[in-house]
Amino acid sequence: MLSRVLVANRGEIAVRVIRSCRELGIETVLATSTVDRDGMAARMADRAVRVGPAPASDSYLSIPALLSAALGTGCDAVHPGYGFLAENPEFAAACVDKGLVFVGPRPEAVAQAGDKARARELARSAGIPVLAGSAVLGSVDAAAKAAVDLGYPVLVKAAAGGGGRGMRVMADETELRDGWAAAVAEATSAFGDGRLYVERFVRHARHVEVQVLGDRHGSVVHLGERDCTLQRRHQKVIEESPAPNLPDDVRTRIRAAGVAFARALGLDNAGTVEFIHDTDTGEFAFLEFNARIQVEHPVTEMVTGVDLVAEQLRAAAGERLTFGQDEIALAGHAIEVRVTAEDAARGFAPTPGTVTDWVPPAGEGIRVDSHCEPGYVVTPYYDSLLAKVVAHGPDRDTAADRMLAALGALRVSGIPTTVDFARFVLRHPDFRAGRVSTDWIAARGLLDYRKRRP
Amino acid sequence: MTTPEKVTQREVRELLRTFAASKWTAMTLVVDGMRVTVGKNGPPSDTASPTPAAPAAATPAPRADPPTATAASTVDTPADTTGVDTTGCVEVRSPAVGAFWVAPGPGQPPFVRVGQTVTAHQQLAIVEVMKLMNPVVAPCAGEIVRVCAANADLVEYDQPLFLIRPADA
Repeated sequence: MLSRVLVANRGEIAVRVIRSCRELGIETVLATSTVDRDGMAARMADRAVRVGPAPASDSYLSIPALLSAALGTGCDAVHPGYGFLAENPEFAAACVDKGLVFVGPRPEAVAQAGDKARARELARSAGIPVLAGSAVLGSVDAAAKAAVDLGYPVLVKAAAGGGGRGMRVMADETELRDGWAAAVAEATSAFGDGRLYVERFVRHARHVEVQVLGDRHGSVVHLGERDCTLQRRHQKVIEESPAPNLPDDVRTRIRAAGVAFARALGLDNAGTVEFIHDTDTGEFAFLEFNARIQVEHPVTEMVTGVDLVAEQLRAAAGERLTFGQDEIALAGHAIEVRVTAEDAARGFAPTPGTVTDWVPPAGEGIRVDSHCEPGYVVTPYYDSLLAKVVAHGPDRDTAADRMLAALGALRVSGIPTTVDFARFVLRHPDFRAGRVSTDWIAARGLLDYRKRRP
Repeated sequence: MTTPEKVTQREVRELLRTFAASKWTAMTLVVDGMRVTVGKNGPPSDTASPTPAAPAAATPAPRADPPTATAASTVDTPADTTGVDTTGCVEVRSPAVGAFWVAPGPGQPPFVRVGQTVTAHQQLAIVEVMKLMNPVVAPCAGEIVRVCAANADLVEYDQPLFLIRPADA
């Protein structure tokens, strides 16, 4: 087993990783920036090492600083969490090169999954439906031609994008031609790679993703699916497992497709296969693969009872999965709400500031993953996630009711948060009926929310 | 020490850091029922007669230059056990996380020793980050009062490495 892990992340996921390491008897060293040095994760870790100043580019994204901290403190492994360097193939390879175990899929798999074109090709070769789309396009004329073949509207995507970033809907050729240069510039500045391609745009889509888990001995299992349809600007807001209102045959086929992709990739750790489900046609198609622990992993843990971070650590250490597909049973329903420092009424504008009061909720079926505490400062340097509140119940309605009660009991002051908006959504008849699509917040939810406010 | 509800641990730590970076020698702080007395050269002499201070007010010891708001110091500065007066000294901090080397190479004499006078921008040490040698240089001319880390130590970003008494002080 691993003996000492460098946690190369911050916030709630750093706390989460440290917790699993403790349970497995693994020591932890937390890499922190100067602003996070007194945070909850830094106090929980066996040791905290400042690796750089507040800007992530000089701390959480600095490969030499992180490797230096890992080697200088005698770590034998690195857990990257999510975001930052979690899916950076150079980081994974550099860790392995220095004799450190990278807690995630092997570097080649990270690289293959990170290139959207290669990932799509792999899915196609594994017999998984892939959304109709073009190859990488060299010019706006080529894009216009491809868009005519696909039919408008089309989605323009950055080849190096991911996690919902680097996408634009183009309604017609005028919009495509007017917006092309800006999309190239945006992709270049966000990902250092301006390559674009176009894809068929699904108007009424649901986002369904399959949690998969593999080991170095060839075993691959799935742990059911998550529905992450409720999004705003492609950022997930509420997630749940299992996916509601999914026809049984679709559910079975999506799970099988997730396992097929993981096998084709030779997955040896945790990963997530994302699919888009077209509610008009009932078809589903492969979107992308995430070679990391996901923000929303707790809903899967709540319904399966599996500690995914512990499984990541075990698999990275070369151990075999301790269970087969037959031993995984999904019990009940779990819902997660991301509590972020954002003002929903002002278009989800970030609200940096100091959290003066913070009392997380507790109760039957309630789990809170958070690094927040009184005095916690939300800085403009990092994302605005304060906590993930998870509610589990025997059925979806019970889970939603427990979530409503938990969010009502959550005490937070000092800064605006998304709690009130989440409560509004959980009460909405569209959510209760499981009848939302990925554009629901933009097209309806936010409008209804604003209307009910004085 | 119990932390009162209205003051967070973070704030207390920040106050202690600001104190450590200041030229104050002692401080008594009374905030919302919590009383903290700290001194740089052992317990302050007047702690035996605690006079209640105004809430949220710091009572500096007599010789006091106000702590500068920009001084983001750390509480991990080694305690002054050597008896050397470090008042007015300037901290030289690590530019990166890495290995601290006091000499240009193994077996070679160190760049500087305690008591030595240095010029501004003179190299004092190396912090090695994955084979990249980052020079640590003196921010001003002065005398080396202390080397705060041991050769080959892992030092953190922003960790104090040297104390220099500025020549013009």
